[in-house]
Amino acid sequence: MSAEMDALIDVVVKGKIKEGKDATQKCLDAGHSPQEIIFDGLSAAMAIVGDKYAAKQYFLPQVLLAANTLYMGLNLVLPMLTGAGGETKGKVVIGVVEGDVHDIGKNIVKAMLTGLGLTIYDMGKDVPIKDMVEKAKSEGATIIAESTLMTPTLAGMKACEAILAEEGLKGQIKTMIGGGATSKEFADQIGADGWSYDAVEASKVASAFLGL
Amino acid sequence: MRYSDYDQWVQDWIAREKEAGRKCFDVKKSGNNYYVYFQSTRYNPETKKRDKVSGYLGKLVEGEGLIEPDTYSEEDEQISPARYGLGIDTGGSFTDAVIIDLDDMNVVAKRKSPTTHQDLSIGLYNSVDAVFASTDIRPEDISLVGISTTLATNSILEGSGGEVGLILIGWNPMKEVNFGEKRQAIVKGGYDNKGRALAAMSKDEVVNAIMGMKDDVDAIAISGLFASMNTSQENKVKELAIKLTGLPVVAGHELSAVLGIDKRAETAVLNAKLIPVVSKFFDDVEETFRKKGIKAPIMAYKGDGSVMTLEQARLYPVETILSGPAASSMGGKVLSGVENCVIVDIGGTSTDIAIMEEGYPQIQFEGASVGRWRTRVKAVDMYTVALGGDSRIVLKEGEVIIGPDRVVPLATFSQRYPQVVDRIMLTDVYDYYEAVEGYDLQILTEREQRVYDSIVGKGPLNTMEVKDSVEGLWVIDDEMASLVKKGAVMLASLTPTDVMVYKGEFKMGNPSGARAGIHSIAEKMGMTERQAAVFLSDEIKEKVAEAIMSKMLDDQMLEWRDKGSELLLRRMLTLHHDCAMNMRASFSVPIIGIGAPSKFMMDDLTKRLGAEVLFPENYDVGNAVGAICSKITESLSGTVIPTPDYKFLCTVPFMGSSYHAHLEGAISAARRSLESYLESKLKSYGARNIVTSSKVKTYMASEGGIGDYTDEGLAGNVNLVEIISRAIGDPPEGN
Amino acid sequence: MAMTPRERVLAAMKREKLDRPPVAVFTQSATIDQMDALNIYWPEAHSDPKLMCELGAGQAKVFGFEAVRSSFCLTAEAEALGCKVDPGKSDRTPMLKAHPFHFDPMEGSYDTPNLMAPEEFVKTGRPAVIIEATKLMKEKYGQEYAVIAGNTGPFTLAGHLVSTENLVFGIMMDPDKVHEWVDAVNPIIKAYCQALSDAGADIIQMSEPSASTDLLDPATFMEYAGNYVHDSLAQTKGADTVLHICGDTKPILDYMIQTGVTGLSIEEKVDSAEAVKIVNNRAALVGNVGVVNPLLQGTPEDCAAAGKRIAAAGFNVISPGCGLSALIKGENLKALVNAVKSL
Repeated sequence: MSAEMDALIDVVVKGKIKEGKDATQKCLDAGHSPQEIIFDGLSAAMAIVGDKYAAKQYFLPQVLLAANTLYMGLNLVLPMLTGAGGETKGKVVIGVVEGDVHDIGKNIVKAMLTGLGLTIYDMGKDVPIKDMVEKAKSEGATIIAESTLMTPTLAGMKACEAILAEEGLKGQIKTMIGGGATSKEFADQIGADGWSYDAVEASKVASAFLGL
Repeated sequence: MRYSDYDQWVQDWIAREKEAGRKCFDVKKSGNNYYVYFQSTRYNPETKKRDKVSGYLGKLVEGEGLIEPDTYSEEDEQISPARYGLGIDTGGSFTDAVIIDLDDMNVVAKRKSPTTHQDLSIGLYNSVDAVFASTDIRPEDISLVGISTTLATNSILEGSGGEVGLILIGWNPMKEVNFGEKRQAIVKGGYDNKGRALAAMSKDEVVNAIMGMKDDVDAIAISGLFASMNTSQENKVKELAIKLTGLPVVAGHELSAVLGIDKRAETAVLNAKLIPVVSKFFDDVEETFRKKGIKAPIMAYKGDGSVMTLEQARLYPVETILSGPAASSMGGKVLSGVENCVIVDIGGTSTDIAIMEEGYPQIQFEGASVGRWRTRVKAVDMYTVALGGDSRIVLKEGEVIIGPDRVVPLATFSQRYPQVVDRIMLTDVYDYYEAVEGYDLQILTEREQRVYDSIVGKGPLNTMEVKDSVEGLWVIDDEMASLVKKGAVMLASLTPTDVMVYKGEFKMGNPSGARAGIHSIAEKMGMTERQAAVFLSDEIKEKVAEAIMSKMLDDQMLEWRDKGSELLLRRMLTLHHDCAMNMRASFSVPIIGIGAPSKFMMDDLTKRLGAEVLFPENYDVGNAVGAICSKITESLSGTVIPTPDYKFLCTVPFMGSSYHAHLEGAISAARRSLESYLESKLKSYGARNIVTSSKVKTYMASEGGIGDYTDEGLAGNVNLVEIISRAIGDPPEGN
Repeated sequence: MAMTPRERVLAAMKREKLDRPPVAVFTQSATIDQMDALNIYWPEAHSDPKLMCELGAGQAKVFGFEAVRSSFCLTAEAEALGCKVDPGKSDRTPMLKAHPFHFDPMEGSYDTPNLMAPEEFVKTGRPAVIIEATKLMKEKYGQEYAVIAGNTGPFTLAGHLVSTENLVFGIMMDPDKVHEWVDAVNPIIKAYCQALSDAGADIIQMSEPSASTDLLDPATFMEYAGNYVHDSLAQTKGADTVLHICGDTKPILDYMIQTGVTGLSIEEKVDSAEAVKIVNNRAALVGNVGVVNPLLQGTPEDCAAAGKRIAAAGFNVISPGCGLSALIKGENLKALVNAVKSL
């Protein structure tokens, strides 16, 4: 681990948004590849942020700061990675199920998954399930992540399973659900491939899906 | 266990008496009758020793209890000199000392003391002092001492020990060889496979070799080509080396008779390396024990379940490797009284499983390996799993992972640092690190040093607090793991011991620390604390069952593991019957549990494995009992093969070959040679009551199998006969 | 004791020792079963005072809970102040569709909060409906039952106007702007609480979900939420006040008490017995039966057991831990009521 990389991780963990781009540039100047910066640096930093969130040391504001610092760095190196023909470690379609607009949880999960080095297609909130499935198909995403805080929208998650099964996509596209109204039992009942209690767990579930 | 075949009503009576505090008695069964004898010890001022006093108390009648005789006379009292043995075992976590009545193998006193890894003798003396303090038996009353230590095993693993000089006779290796020796010399000589000299040794060459290495080494090892057929060259070199250097010298043939000069050399070098360390240890022990007033002979425990004198231990320390596991197997057998069984010894760090056949542990055919070293020492074939009472419990993605790391239990840690309990309850993080003060930083890398410096003196810190303390560095997981491994930082975490403490099955430390750890698991799994404790217990017990089954399967075929077989195994062991089809194994021998955590970690084993599970009394000090209750044994094999000219060639190691006209004659000759050799060897150790026996295994040409040869007419079809002889004797006693 | 439900609930708010605690829904109480039974449905009931009065009393009339409650959602105030709201369906509460105001901490550009005056607010849109419904409830049911009026807390409301995520982000980047907004919203809430009390509410139950530990660092609770609750809800005259916050509120229970409210309404993530221990009779405890589990997904037996357990732990009022999902089955609610009433 070089000094530049350590410094970048420090900047992201401490949420110093304004220094994010510079610290990333310094890593590039020191000879690190975009791969290394994303997967060994930014990812590691978000993992630490996730740990702090789990340890109730960081709360939403700090996570948002770190996430935004992450995006600063990512904006610089991600185009280099994909532009050179490199691939991120996986593609995820994420959104809040139709009928619900509570999206903060979804946004934290998005930050954590981005931190893993994944390409995220954020569909936003109140998203029809059909649209999420279509997007996954067209972009070649292998994970659909659905979130909801409210109980009436749980039906949408069930519908997603049905659509994937009908189109023979179960297994090719993995589903993971989360949010206040969900539970492990519910995930098992509807046949979802994964469930997570919070954003940190979510990144572990996604990692497991992709074999990271 | 002595009473296990008594009628239930008798066992109940005994249990009630013991519960009421009346323990000084013994119940003997004669036919269908039960007689009770009173037993106690008395100091005899004349002999200055303890006497055992026993007297007849009465007869046990069902439904009425003890019926005392009408009269009691002094003649009914029998006095005999008491014979006590002191057994000591240094384990990974604890050093146990027990005092045993050698007549009935009763444990009279037992004590534990933490093992002091940096100097094993400290913990050893502590436990010995403690055990004497707990009883009025005095050191002078001890007639025999047995010690089993991990010293040899640890030294090999750590690579410590003295410097060795190796002399190879008559070997021309294809490439450079080194078995860890500092100096090496190859001299002319060697034998062929019939024990005839290939070349004469040159005395000058040998003297030069010895003088050349004498100042650089602490001990000398010798290994000659086919020396197992003819030992004279090795013996001559040994004599000369001792005369010229005064250093300890051991020849390869003294340690093993297997073929392979390189294998014997490897064992010899390892042995020589250990000599300084082990000798010093036993010298120290002997001196200290004598000072304490223990005059009894001291026996060192060997890895095959037998013992040897200290003189031998100083010369052949490599045979003490794996003595711990061997002692626990023998201990389990002695305490349970069962000769054929599976012994499961659960300690703080690991679970060791061995199979006992006819009173002795199965020996590893290839020779024991320790770390990356493959010795040719015959030692117990032990299956070890890093799963013990203090193994670290980690929850990873909903899966419970136990071990292999060994950590400080939360109950112990939170007794010293009660403030961590609230923090754990709040954060659900239960890994706590504490830097060990005054650690020698030389062997740490630069990053490790930074981490160490940032946290030393700051008290207990959880994982995130450690990271917060190190300025500018966040990704330090590797460094933290390395610091713990190097002993610079101590790690406390959730362990099976904590689960036991939480459930009230074990008293230790601060129970709220244990509870805090359970609480974290409960939160992460979405369970109540009680559910989490049950869940963890279940996982722990299933893993123990899995380890036992793995050992049994490994013995059949090493490469059995794959996804399918693992699924079958789990289905066989689970207690969750949510499937219409259930599988259960069954065992034809009992499983004996020893070691303090075993009762907890094996308590539902019967349900899982279909085996009878026994926890003999004093199961928590099984190793120390084993260390004292063993015999001196030696075994050796010879062979008989047919020759092209219709005769039979009998070959016995160290004693050469002879030709015989008849197969019977050849086999008898082998037997006689082997048994007399072994008997005199044992006599030289001071063993008493020596018994020799031999087993004959015949390999037939036509059937291709093994059988007991009886018919002379089949002599023409015999390929090979193996004669395995054994001599068993009681250790010398006296004080 | 032969107490009316109203007496029982009010006594419980005073933390008096009773033979058994009252069982009442202090949060959103309407469910499909009640709607079917009364033939009054969402979304109509959101904007008609008479319909709201009857449906809000459904918890008592249909299931035997011991209170009545007006307001079924947390969007009324935001709508009145300019947010676009989707009225929802019979089984789905109204949803905020857009935040009318700009608040961008990343760019550092913020709208100034020019909100309507409090006097005007209480006569506008659905807040006025809720006030009227409260009055009707008091007239028709107020003898027998305690009337609870539900509304939204200042921090949460500010979040509704500018987007909660931006507001929380602002705490780190531009705290003064956050204060500017919550300061602007607070007098409106204060007036609203008082109006509800004047209309006859015995208890004002205010929800502040955005102040939950999921979103807000406990160390910042008082500064951005607690003080404002203290200056608005807790100042209400003529009614008891209850502060409801979702999520794991254990770290902020002390702060919630410091705001000066009569009672705390919490959800099942906090262990009931521990909550009682921490609160130590400094405020009334209302809750904490899990809405998803056991009420929505559990069996009637699970619900009965939960009610008994929480009563045994020492809660003053047995209530769901959060707003009821309209899909909750009647048999579960009945089981809960019967279990507590038979203690």
